[in-house]
Amino acid sequence: MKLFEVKNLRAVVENREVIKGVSLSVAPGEIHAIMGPNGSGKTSFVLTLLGHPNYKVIKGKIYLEGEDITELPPYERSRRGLLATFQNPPEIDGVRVGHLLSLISEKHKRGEQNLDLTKVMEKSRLGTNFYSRSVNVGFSGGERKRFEIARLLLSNPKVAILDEPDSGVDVDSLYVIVNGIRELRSNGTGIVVITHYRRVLKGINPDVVHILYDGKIVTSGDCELVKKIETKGYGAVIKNV
Amino acid sequence: MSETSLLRWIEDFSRNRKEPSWMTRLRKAALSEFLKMKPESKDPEIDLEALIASITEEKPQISSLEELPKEVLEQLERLGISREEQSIITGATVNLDNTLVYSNLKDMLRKQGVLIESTDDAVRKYDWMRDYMFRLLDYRMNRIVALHIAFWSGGVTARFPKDIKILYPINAFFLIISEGIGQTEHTLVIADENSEIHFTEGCTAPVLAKYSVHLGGTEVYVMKNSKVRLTSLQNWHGNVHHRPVKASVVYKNASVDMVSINLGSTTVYSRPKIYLRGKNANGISQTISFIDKTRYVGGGGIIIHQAPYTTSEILNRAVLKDKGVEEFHGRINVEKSAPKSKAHMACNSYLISPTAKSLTVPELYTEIDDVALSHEAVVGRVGEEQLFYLESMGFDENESLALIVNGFFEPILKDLPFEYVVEIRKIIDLAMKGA
Repeated sequence: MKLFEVKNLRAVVENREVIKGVSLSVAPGEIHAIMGPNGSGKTSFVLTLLGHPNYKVIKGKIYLEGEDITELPPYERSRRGLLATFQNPPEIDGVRVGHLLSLISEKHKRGEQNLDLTKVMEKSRLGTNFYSRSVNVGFSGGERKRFEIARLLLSNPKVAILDEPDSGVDVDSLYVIVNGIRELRSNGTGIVVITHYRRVLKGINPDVVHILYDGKIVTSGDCELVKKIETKGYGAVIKNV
Repeated sequence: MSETSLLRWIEDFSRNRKEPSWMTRLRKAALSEFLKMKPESKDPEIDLEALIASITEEKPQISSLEELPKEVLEQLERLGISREEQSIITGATVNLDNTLVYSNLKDMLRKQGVLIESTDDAVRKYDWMRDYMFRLLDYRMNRIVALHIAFWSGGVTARFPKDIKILYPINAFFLIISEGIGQTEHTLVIADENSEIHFTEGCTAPVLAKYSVHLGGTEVYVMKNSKVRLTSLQNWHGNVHHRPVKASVVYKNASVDMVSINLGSTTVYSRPKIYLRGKNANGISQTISFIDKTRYVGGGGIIIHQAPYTTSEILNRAVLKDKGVEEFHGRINVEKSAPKSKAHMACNSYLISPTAKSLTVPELYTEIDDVALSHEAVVGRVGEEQLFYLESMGFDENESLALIVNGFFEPILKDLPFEYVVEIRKIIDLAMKGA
């Protein structure tokens, strides 16, 4: 049984097809990187996997530990272990970070064991003053990304999807993100990282790199593919198809 | 009953209660004024004979909390007051229907010079009551005030001496435990110079009332350099029409913060009035409402600036669900005597269902130019992206909504007593589950 499988997925948003037949299979502890030029459908792919109401699957299936989750509402997918970090997480006024994180840790605990919130906050370099702040309100770019990592770690994910966890962050935040992903990998989480940059991939060494273009995976390979893109641009790998 | 027999009844009622003649006269004047006034569209149906019957009805004689009915005790427990530790840190009085039944920590407060009595006793005992009772609420104001003055019974009077600072909230609880009652308690708070008080009122009905009108009244006096916070939480269950009448006066360098939290009742209409009578006085009137089903909440503060350099705020936050309706009528009046005054009104409403309605009518009046008045209103829908974000964390739609709604109320809830906040959050969570 595969941990996470996407089979020939096609999805539309407002009648426009944005995902045009994507397949993917992620094993425990595996890291898949998805790269691609802007507008190629990376975020649409993430939102479709999560069950965003605006993204309708017209064909294909999503399986988590063998279970078809294609039609499940977002919270049911999450409760089964499919978690994601958002590229641009929304602000939620008045909902305190500490309160939300403790609810998350309670909701996703395995057995009787809650993850240590304080430790996760330390690891994510979020000071204790963060507990009383409203979720994402007034957060800097780096703080947003680190908070996303913290809540991901607290959720004990079986599969983690990170949508551009490294865009617009400083070196310190990058360090937190890379370490977070490594920790998840060592716990056996299957990981999908969407990114534009090599610097985060260098730190986590993805097993597979996929190039998404026009709603399709046009090529897959190893880290060599990343180097090629960095030197020659997406044109080189996309034209080869 | 004819007007003559009604007036005779009220005279007997007052006399039987051994009230001083000034109170009897007030009641009679208020009643005849009431009979002259035409009902307004917002007024609930009021059956005077039923009201009379409920006011004169034998009240349960209870001397300690343990004698209360089980469901009442449970309700109190949920509000956190029957716990041992609570009784140590808070001063609480319980009003059962209209009868004051219990007051813990009364002795401790008394030692510090605080007077806490049932308003009925205070009127009988103290001549000075005449200078405060119904000096802010006038029976000519409107029909509901007139009715309250004519029929008031029960409630708490609390007078705080100079320089006292009480850091814990002093609680009064009002409970409707019998059906068909018109609760008419009167709360009087007097904070003498340089004092600091947080007074809280909790209104709830552990039994489902068939039809009931709550006609409570509150008057608050904030003397020079004092600070008073008055928080009223109402969570009446069933067909209760909540019509509290409230007014306060604030003197030099003093401030009042009146917070009304509306979680229950079929209809609510309330416009607390604040008179800023001394230089630098500050008044804040805040309302938070959760309005679901076909419930209606109307009102908003009225603030009257009468002295220079006075400042005020009217803040309104409401969350509307189902076919809930909100009408906000905030009003700020600046009189000639109040140059350099500043006032701000802010209305923030959140619509959860497309069938809910929110109407905002802000009024800013000034008789002079040298003032700064402003108003803002925001009506929004709960963001789809926020909901999806929370759902992706494993919270179902109702849990996500409850989180967002509680967050929306947070700015007003953050300074409230802990047990209130817990109760409010619980009520919102429950209401969301019925989505």
